[in-house]
Amino acid sequence: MKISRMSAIALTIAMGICGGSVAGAQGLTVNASGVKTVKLSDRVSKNQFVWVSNAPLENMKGTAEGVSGTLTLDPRNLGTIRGTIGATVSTMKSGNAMRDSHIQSAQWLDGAKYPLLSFTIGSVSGIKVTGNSATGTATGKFTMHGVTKSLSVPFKITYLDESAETRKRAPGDLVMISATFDVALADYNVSGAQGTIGSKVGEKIQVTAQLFGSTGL
Amino acid sequence: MNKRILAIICLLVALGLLVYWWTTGAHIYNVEQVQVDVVDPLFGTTTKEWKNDFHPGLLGYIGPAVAVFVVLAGWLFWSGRKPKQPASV
Repeated sequence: MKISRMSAIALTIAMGICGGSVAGAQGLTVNASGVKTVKLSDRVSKNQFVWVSNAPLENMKGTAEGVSGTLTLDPRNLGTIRGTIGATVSTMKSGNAMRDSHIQSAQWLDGAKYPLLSFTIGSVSGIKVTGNSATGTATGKFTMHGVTKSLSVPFKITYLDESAETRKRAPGDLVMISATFDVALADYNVSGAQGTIGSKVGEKIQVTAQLFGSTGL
Repeated sequence: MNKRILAIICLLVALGLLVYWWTTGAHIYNVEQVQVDVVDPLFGTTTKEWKNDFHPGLLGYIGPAVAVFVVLAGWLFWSGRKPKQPASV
């Protein structure tokens, strides 16, 4: 009887510890708490989308800058991350001026008609925390070439509490988010010049987003 | 100089151009800028910067130049061949 009571107490304590760790599993080890608004800014570091196209006849690497966006998040509960991030099509570069003009053209991304690529975060799952960093998967709506599709994006977030070092970049706490995902051109009705996709341009473009923001801007 | 030797030099130049093209990124079209990695010391992340650096592409300059040297080599071989000796009767 005495042993069973002790077992029950031990079980209760164990459940409490487990429950506590699960509740805290989505929280970063930082001083900040509460919902923060993070504004992306190149003052913190260069915001950009890096894209890679691998095709049998040509491999291309490029960037898209002109990134803007605002996120809300509670560093103690990363499941709350929400927001929209955008990049302007006109800032896409590939190292070849003629090719850059083709990217903007109506056959490809039609920058005049659809000037923005955007991703709106709807939910966040699978968060694993390591100190002031965490990984997880953000699911949301990705819009390109006027087509919006659901997309799940694995990401890494790093949160830096405001310090003398961070104030050299921008006021407030600093946040870095990196994410890599594939975009299938056909899914977004990008057909390109005839016979180009699959030979000179990859059917899927690998995109890596590097996002930097501050809570004090 | 012997035309055959000139032809071999032309072929070697063509081969050298192809090796240069391959080692500078094997670009199909001319590239005016290349990406360089820049490490952010605060976050430890790597971002890309563009640096002006011209690399000729296969359909830009390399392909036509290789074609010219190969054609020249072919012409030198052809024009430098020894005339056939008439068959002895």
